[in-house]
Amino acid sequence: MSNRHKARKKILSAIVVVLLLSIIMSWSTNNPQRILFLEHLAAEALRPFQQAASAVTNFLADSWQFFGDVRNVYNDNQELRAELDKYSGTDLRILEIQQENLRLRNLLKFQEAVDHQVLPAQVIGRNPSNWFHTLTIDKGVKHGIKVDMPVVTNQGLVGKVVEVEPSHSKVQLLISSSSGISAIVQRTRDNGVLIGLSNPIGYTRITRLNQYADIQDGDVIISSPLTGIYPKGIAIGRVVEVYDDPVSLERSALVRPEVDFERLEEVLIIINYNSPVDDPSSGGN
Amino acid sequence: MNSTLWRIRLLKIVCVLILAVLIFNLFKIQIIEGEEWANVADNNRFRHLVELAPRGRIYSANGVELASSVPTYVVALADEQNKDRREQTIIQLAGFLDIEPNAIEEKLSKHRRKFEPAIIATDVDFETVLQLEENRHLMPSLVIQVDPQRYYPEKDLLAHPLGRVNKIDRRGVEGLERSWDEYLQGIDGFSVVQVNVDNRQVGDPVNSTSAIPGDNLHLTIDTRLQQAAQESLRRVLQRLRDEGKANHAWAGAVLIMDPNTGKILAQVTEPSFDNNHRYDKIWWAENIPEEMPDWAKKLTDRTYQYRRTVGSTFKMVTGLAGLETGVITAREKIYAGGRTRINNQHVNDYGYAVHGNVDMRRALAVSSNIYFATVGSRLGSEKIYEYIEKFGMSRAQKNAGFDDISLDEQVSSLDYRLGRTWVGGHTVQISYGQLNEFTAMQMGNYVSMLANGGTHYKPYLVEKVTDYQGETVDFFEPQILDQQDFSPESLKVIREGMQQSAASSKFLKDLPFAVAGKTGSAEHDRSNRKNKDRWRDTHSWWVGYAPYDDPEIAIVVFMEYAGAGSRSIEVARDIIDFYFDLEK
Repeated sequence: MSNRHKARKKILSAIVVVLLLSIIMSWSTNNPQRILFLEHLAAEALRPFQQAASAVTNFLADSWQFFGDVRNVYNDNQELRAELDKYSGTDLRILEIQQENLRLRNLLKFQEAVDHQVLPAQVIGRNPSNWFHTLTIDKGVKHGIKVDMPVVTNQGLVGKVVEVEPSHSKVQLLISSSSGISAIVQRTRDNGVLIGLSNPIGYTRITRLNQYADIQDGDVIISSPLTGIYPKGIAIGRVVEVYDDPVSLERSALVRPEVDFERLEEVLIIINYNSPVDDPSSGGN
Repeated sequence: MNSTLWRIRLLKIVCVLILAVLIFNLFKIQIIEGEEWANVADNNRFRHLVELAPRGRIYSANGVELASSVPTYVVALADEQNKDRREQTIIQLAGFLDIEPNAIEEKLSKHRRKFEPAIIATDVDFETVLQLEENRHLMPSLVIQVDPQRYYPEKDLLAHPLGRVNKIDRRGVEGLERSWDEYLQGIDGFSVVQVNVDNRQVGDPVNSTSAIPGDNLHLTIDTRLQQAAQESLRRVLQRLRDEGKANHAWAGAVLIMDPNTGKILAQVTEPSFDNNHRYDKIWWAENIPEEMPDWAKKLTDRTYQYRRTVGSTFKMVTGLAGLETGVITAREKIYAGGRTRINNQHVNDYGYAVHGNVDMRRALAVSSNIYFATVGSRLGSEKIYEYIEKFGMSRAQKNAGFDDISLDEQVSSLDYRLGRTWVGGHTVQISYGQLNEFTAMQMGNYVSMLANGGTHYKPYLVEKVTDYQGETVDFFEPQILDQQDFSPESLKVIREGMQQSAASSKFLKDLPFAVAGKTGSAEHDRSNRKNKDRWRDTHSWWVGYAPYDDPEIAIVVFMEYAGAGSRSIEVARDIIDFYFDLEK
């Protein structure tokens, strides 16, 4: 191969590259789909390298973690041994059953105390990243659960069903920042909206109250039947702080819910409260 | 070997190609379309919210809210990038608002300022708001804003002077709302909040200035007195119509002032209306008697936007001028024989009654036109107009200096000299209150000056301005515009005449203290055959003050087309009873 030949080849390949580039650019400029196609091609081609690279990175990270974990495991081991000595396993189970029994008794009492037909349900899922928004219960369409049904405990209102699946449903908690519930101040009958707060988390705020509404610390907030979702008079919470905002034409107050949302294991679904807008058959068993 | 080389080259080419495409795309996104994409990203992240400042409130002297703000609800949608969620939100919202989804789409497509939520519906009722709140999780981009709107809790009380606010830009456009708009207007707040991918606010606002409500006005009006005066005036007018005594007695006014300060304590116009429905034709049709004629239905305030002849209530001007200039003494008697001619003008006393020889006091008590026509003819018109000016009643002294309401919304007196060749007969007629026309406000100041001995206090309605935290921004002390040095002797004669006039009334006889007053039965132009009002009764006036010895209130009662002045005294008596807490 002569040198001249080599040089000519180089020039030729450079021209080819430039040409190809221009073709691809003009081909792809106005159509993102085509870029996507190229990206896919590229991604496929690069995948083995990426995998290799991430394998190496993961190995290094895991090794580091390993040393840290060894220490944690050791500590845990010590604690667990101590714990194991204290309980002989069965005691724990008995305690658990006793507590469940107590809770169910309370729920039963509540069920007897209200006019509504309720269906008990177990909390089967609670996503930690969504702890204050929703929870999942073990009753669904099969059990007659419908969207918007109120969910309560013997302490008070929990929220309402927002999604139903055949055998489980999602409940929106009233402390969720996307929850809004029409509520009334028990003492004065002023109507407002109770919304969940992201700060302080676990609290709610009753707002949209009349600007002249008389609301005080300790006032009890109960559900309002105005919009037809909730039966009248279910306890929601107590006012802990009244906001005095001279700008606002609505009064509002911080409300601490009655229900302990940290520990929710069994709830009751009110299944026979017919909202006026629904058809009458919606509340059947 | 050759094929290996070729493959390597191919691989090189591919690599270069990929790299080139990547570089090109990066260039395109970052540089060519960089600004656009940054905007899209910010649109997603930030939302601009306006907090509308409520207007300042208006309070009466006794602390009653005469004008407040109530929340009305505006439903808006923030920009939503996620197509599915956007569609779901629109369908849900359309259902709750009971409108077509297309109507919402249309509003969204017209909305230009992407940072701000697009307004979908205004004046949404509270129940719908509650429903929307309960279903917020289905409509993450939903924004419910509060739009403060003016509300007048006392409805028809003081409706005229309070005025009106434009619903759209919320600026005052009439009455106190207009002239005090600078104070009443608040400053809107503004905040930029960050929202997450679910269109929910995260954290505190990035940037915010909170709204500052407008300043509050505190009026000199006492709502209890206002109410009592309004009810009395309404009742008496109604009865005059019902009993067929005055078929056109639909309208009138009452003005009550503190003669020692110029404070307006009550300012009534009849017929009144619910100020929340000022221009609401349906409300008027449903709430105003069908028989009420159109001329009475006007929104005119009859204390400062209306002038009429005042009849014999004017006689104290002529009388005092006569005494002060010396054209007559208190003791000189003039023969009042029922009818006569002065300056070639026919003059007669009411009902052609013959009062015989009367002096000033007696002439006031029996309201002799002949006596005051004689005094007037001796004075000449120039002197009479001089005293009109001394009492702050001239055309130039618009409503005696009352300027709490913009002057362009007020009228002044009618000066009969304007555009006329003056003849002696005119002088005679103006001496007992014909031809010239005055407002109730001017009459209130005039009678206050008689009560306090010649001090012209500026009539005022706004005493104090406070900010939303209750701090005083402005305080208005009584203001003396003019001080007349009428001689105490002359004043005493006039006041005694007024006292005798009041004492002769069946409505004022049995009071525990003396009062001063004067009736007026004012004729309007009945000579003109084309004048459709010429068959109507005279205007009924009463001006006075109480108690006689130590005046606390000055009263003007005006009943249009209600007949004799004595009919107005019944309203004055109700006011005195109420103010002094007397048992009837």
